[in-house]
Amino acid sequence: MKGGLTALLYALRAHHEARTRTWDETSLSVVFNADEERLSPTSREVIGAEARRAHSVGILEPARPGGEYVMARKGAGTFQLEVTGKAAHAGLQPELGASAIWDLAQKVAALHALTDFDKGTTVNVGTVRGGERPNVVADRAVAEIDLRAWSRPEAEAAIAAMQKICAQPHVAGTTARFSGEVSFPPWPPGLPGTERLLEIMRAAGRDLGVDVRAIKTGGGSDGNHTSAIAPTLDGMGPRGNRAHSAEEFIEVATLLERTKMLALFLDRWATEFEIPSGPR
Amino acid sequence: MRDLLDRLDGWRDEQIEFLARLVNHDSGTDDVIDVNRVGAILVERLERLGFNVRRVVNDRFGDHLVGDKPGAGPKRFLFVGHYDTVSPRAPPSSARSGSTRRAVPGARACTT
Repeated sequence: MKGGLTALLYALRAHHEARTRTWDETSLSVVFNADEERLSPTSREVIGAEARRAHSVGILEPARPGGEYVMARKGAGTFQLEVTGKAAHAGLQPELGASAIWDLAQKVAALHALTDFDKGTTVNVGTVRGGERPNVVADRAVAEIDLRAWSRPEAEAAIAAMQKICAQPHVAGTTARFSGEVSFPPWPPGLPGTERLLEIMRAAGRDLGVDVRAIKTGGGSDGNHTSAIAPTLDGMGPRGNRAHSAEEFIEVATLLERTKMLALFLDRWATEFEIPSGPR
Repeated sequence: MRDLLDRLDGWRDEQIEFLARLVNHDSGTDDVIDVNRVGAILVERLERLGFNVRRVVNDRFGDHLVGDKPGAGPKRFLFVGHYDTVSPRAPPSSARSGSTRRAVPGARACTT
């Protein structure tokens, strides 16, 4: 993302120093938030407020590995499942115990079975913790679950299914508590506002000889929040790969290219984008 | 249009250096002091462009920066980017593959 910030700052600087009509005429807002990697809990509100004041939104997340812009993102939520059982000595009195791990394990199997790649709905149990020692029947086990879905109804159906699975005890004497929410709402494909911004970006690409393509992705961003408020286009930053790994890299040459694209896009947006009439 | 592109071509190396500066200042989400140090660089740049910048302070993370540059016309565009990274205290960047690629933890990172 620091590549995207750099691209923006230089694209704006070019407009500023060239004293373009776009710079004089267009009001610009920026939000640089500091908690996105935690799903923007404390910046979501200010991003929403600024999006309501704006006619369009550009998200500076990186281009996809093939250079694509992002036009839709799955909704994402994190959930917790905590199973409480009853501890007992695994050798002396195992029959008095109720294993939280054994119960959780069966719930995990059922949760993973909810994944439907055709629909794009995925359930991933990303962490499990539980138990203290091998010779103790575990009285506690906890899982963290990631849910992704293309639409709100799909997400709600998956949550209902997860609740049902978690409410079903497999080991007598255990109880389960399930909590969590969709924190990044789905940004569904095909929103007209996004399509319009993409057209403008394609025109900017023709000016530069760059073939502009856009894809949908399962990863969340602040575009999930803004796309419900104002036309949004994402993936405006430079291209890279291996995000969130130690091998993460940026294709340096794309820094300049994406900066030029931003500068030309803004120029075209300032003259070509029509403010939609009527309430949003 | 040519004017914009020529300016950007002229700033090519400087821009890469600026990115390297941002990247070499770590800003893992939970390292609030580190994050705000990077924020200060960004604020300085935005103010130089004529933005009024407001810091939205919260009690868990670094400051969120909200910039506003008024224009004479009716239209307003919002850019959103974040400057916290997944990797805390990343190793310094190093060139790789003949420097067409540069390893930069946090330079790109981002989707959650």
